[in-house]
Amino acid sequence: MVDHPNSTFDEAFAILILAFIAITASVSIGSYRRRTAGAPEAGGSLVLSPGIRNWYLENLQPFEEFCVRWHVAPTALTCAQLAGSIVVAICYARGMLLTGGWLLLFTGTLDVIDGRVARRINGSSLRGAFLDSIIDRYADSFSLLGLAAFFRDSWVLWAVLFAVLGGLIVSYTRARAEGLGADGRVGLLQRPERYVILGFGTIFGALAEHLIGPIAGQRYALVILVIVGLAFMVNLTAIQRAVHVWRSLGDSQHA
Amino acid sequence: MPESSPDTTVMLGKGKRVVGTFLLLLGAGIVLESSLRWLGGTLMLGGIVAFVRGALETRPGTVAEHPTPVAIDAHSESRL
Repeated sequence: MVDHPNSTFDEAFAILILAFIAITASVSIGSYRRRTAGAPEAGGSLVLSPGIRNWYLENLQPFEEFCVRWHVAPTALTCAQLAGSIVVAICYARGMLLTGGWLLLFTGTLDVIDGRVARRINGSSLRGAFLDSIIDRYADSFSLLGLAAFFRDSWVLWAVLFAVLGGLIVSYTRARAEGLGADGRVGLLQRPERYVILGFGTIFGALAEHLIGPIAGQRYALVILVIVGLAFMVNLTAIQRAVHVWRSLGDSQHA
Repeated sequence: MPESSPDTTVMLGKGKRVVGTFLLLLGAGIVLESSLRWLGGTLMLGGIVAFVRGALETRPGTVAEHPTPVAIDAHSESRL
């Protein structure tokens, strides 16, 4: 936790990190866009455009290949995701928001890779999908619970708990909808978007804290803004899904 | 690992760049936020080495970058 006046070293280091992120991302995304200019794009969302999604998936290809070649079991990746999310929770709870945010993006990546590897090796199974769903819920909740522990003495705790609740309702709505034969895969903020917003939000929030300190007397103002926004949007997604399922079920009778 | 075709070289290079970036920023976070500066510094050093090696392996003119964009797989991410 940043509980001391920011030293010149910290400020200079934070600027270097920001510069590295900006340069690496712009060069990498720029190069990807030049290579794929004109290629059809589909399937994006408000937060993650198709181009960004494809760029991300292209960067994951080497790891996917590695896991396939070395027969890494998808279940092992799922378990690694769970272990990673516990580390994220510990980092967040200790106030290591930059490290935690970066590890959160890593655990989200493991979640993407395990499904892709399972399909590549024809290892998709109902048990695997079931385990993946359970671990996803734990992983989702762990990271937010870490933030809840960090903000335990502040009103922000309520926003974090509201975000946890929203995340669980979003998942439950889809599971229940599928149980009733409807499709619940709609909504503003699905899981990849939540990972991206929370991950980058805490990374840049922590860097801002090192660089400019409290804003209007509020420490971690950017992180708090991200958490409140996330809590609002996640619950909006839950309502959006519920309304969609309600409409698509129409007047169907329960069997 | 089997063969080492240009495609594999590009793939390995990209992988090293990504791992390098990950280690570099993870190490930077640890340096900035914890007292384990030696651990963060070591991770950063490993990250820089991996990143530079990956960048050298995939620099323009050495090997062609992967030409085909990855198609979005509707099932890529669990959406629960």
